[in-house]
Amino acid sequence: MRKLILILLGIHLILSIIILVPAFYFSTREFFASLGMTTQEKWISKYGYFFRSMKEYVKKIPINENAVIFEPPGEYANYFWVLNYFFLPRKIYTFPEYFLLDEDFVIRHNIKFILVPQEERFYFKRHVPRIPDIITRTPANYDTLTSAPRFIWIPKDTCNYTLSLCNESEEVLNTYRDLKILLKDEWIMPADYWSSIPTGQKIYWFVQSIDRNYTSKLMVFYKK
Amino acid sequence: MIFKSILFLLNLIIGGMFLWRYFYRSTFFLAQTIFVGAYSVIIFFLITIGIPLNKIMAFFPLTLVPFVFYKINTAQWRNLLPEKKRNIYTNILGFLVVIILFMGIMHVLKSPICEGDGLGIWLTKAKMITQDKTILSENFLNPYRIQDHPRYPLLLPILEASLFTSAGIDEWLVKIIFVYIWILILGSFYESFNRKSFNASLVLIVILSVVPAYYTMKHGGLDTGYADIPLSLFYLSVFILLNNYFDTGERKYLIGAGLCLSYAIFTKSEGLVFAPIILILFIIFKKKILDVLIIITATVIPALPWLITAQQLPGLYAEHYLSYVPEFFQYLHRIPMIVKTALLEVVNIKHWGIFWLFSLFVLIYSRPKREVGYFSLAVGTLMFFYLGIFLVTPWDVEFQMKVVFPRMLLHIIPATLFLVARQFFWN
Repeated sequence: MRKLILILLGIHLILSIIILVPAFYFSTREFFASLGMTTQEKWISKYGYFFRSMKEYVKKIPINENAVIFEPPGEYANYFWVLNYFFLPRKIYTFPEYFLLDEDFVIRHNIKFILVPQEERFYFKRHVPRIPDIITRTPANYDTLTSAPRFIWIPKDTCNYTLSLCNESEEVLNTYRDLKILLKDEWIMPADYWSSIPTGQKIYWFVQSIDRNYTSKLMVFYKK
Repeated sequence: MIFKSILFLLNLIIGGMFLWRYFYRSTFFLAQTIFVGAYSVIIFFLITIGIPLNKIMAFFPLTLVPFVFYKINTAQWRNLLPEKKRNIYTNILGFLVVIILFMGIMHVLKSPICEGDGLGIWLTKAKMITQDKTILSENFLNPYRIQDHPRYPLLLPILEASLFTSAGIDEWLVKIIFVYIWILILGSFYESFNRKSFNASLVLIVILSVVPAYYTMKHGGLDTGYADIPLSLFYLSVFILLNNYFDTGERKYLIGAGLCLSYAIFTKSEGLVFAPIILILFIIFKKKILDVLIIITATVIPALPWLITAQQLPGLYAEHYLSYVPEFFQYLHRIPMIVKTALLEVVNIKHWGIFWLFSLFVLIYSRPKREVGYFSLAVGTLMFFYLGIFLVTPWDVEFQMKVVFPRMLLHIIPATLFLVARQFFWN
C-alpha cells in the first residue's frame, strides 16, 4: 500500500512540476523585468493604453491608485469608482451611449475615447436601467431644431420629473437643480436659454423622476 | 515604503511571537496564524467603536516587543529546528523546497494586484477603509455607493488597510501579506510533522507547494489577492489545532481552534458554513460539555462584532442564497450538471495534478481512524454544502461553477493534505 501511495505521489509531483515549469519561468522573468519599476510603472507596462487614456480623461487620479474617484460637483454628488475590472462595460456603452453616469444621472462624462482593446475594462458599478421607463414624444431623436424645443414625455406615474441637458462633456442644465422647477409631462425651453446654445451644437437630453428610479432613453437633438 | 511594509510585517510577526512564547510554545506558525486573525479582529473592533484607523493602531503589536524578547534564550526554538538525523533525501528535499518557495514568491510578487475580485472587492474595500479610516462611512453604509458584495467579511481588507495606513497605498507591496500567509501555511505543515520526520515535513511542503492551481488559476491563485488562500490557512489551522487537542487534551488548542473558526467567518462567507459544521460534529463527537462551551465561546465572541455590523451594511438580494432555499425543488434538475462539473474539475490536471485522486485514495483505502474520520466528515459535509450553493444560486450555474468551484477546492487543499498526512504518518 505504501508503495502504491509513493508511486501516486511521484506521478503527482512529476505532473505538477511539468505544468509549473513554464508558469515559473514566465513569473520569474516578469518579476526581474519589473524590478526597479514603481507600482504605477508596472501598471502602465501591463495595461499601457488603458492607463494612459485614463490619465487623459480623468480630472483627478491620485498617484498609485488604480481606483479613480470622480468627485462631481453639486449637492447630489456621489462617489463612484471606475476600476480596471474584468466585467464588460457594456452597460455604459449601450445606455446611454458613451456616458458615465452617477447614481442620479447628474454628471455625465464622455468616455467614448476610452475603448480598451484588451480584456481589461471599466467596471461602472451603478446599474443603469436597460429599458427606459419614460417614453419621450418630442423632440424626436436626432432632430435638427430651429427654435426652442418643447419637450414632451409620457410620465410613468404621478411623481415629479426633472429634465437634463448635456453637451459632450457634462450636464449643463438640470431643471430641478438649476431652475428649481418640478415637471410633470412637458417643458418648454426658455428663449434666452435656447439662444445661449451655439449653432450646430449637439445636445443630449433625458428625463428622470426626482423621487424614483425612472429615466428616459438618452436623446439627442442638434441646433441649426 | 518598502521599509515600512517590512516593518508592518515584522510587527505582525512580533505579535505572533508573543502568543508563541506565552501560550503556544510548541507551535510557532500556528501562534502566528492566531495572531494575524486576532490583529484584524481587534482593529475591526476599534474601528467600529469609533476609533479611526491610524499608524499607532496599526503598529500596536510593537508594544509587545519587551515581552517577546524577555528571556528570549529560554524560548522553545528547539521545536522549530529540524531533527539532527539527516540523509541525502533531506538535502534533495530541502533544495526542492527552497527552489519552489523562491519561485512561488517570485510568482506572487511579479505584478501588482490588478484584476478580478482581488482588486475590485478586497483591495477596494481596503482602500476605502484606508481613506475613510473607518468602515462607518458612506462608502460602506450608503446602498447607492459602489462596492460589490457589501456584506463580504473584512479580515483581509482590514489587514491590507492596516498595511496601507502604515506604508501608503501600493497594490504591489500589499502582496507581502499573501507571501506571509503562504509561508504560514507551509510552516504549519513543517512544524506539525517535523518531530515525526523532517523528511516527511519537507515532502508535504513540496506536495502542497507544487499544486498547479496556486500558480495557474487566474481567480484565486497565490498572486491574485483573493481571500481564498487566507481562508484555507484558517481551515488548516482549525484542523491542526483540533488534532493537537485530540492528542494532548490541552484546552488552549481548543481555544485556538475556536478562534480560527471565528477568523474563517471573518474572512469569507464560506466560513459561516464551515464553523457550524465543525462545531456540530465536535458536539456529536466529543460530548464533554465544558469543551463544547469553550470552543463555541471562542468561535462566537470574536465573530460577534462582525456578525452584528454586517447587518447594518447594505444587503445585496442576490447574495441572500438562503432566500432561494424554499425554491430549491425547482432547481433539482441542476444536480447532474453540478456533479459533472465538479467531477471534471476534481480531475483537472492543469489545476490539481492528481492531488485529489491521490488524497481520496489514501483516505478511503487506509480506513480513517476516529479523529481523521471526524475531519474527513467535516470536509465532506463542507463540500456538500458548497455544491448546494450552486443548486440555489441566482447566477448562471455553469459559469459560476467554473469560476467559483476551483476556489472552493483551494479552501480545503491544505486541510485535506493534513488529513492525508495524518492518516499516513500517524498510523
